[in-house]
Amino acid sequence: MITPKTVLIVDDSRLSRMIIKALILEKYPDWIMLEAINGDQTISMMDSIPEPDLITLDVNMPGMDGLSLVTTIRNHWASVPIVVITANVQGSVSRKCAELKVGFVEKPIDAATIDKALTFME
Amino acid sequence: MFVLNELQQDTLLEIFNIGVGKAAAALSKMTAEEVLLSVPTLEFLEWEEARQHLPCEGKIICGISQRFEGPFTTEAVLMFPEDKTIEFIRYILQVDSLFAQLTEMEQEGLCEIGNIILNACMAPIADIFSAEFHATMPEFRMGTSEHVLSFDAAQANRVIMLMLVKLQLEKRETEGYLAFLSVLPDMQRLSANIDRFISELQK
Repeated sequence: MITPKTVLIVDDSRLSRMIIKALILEKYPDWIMLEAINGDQTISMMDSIPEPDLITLDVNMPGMDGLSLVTTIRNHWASVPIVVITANVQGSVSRKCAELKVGFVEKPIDAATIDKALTFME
Repeated sequence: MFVLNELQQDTLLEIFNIGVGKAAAALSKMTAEEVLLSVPTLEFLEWEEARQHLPCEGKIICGISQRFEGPFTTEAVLMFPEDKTIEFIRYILQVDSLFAQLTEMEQEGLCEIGNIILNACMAPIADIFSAEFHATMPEFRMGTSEHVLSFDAAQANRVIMLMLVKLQLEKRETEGYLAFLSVLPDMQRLSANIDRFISELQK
């Protein structure tokens, strides 16, 4: 039996969390979706949940931004796949993602965006 | 009165055209409709005069505003008339609603949509200037265009750069605007960045 995968969605936008969750569940209805609205909530969740199979991160969030959060996540889960899904599509952001060895996917989010994001699980 | 020379204006408009094109592409993707763009207009005005040039005169509009600080500072605003905004967000969220006004969730959804479109616009501009913008969180505003563009008495004596682009969604019979406002010190930094960009091109 294949164990369903777990995805942690970190985004301050309820709309974005809804869309990401809906599109993943459309493809994989048995997967487990977890959500966090910002960096602080993500950090407080990390001690109480098993390591997810994928984390999606927004960049521009109130408080800790997504790129700073990557380092904190990696200190806890060294090799969890992370993909940034962001409206902040500046070259500087995609370069920082490459340096941090995390995926980079542009909003707006659609089925193709999610397919691209899920490739970072491999 | 602050002025840009012809080459600087042309360069600025072209740079913003690239950004607006990306913004339109993002809007088109979200609405599954072609977005028609006007040629951007660029004016340097004192606030009293700028009031006469604001779009959607007399209408209640919904706007999403973000301040971008980086190679220059600008307040960027995406705005649509209120009735069209309601129709538009409910289409994107795929919700039917009996409420005549925007719900909190719809306002939040609009903020995210505005965030995507405004960032899509500003990102290529940052890349062209080999710099980085830091943006505030998107803010929802509703009211007249003066209110949405946060013109107030404190700016009465200031020279403002006002750039406007009309966005048209034909099937939805919707017209919106992207507006960019900068005040004088920011325009001087913008002018310096344009000059640097032009001189790099000429090497």
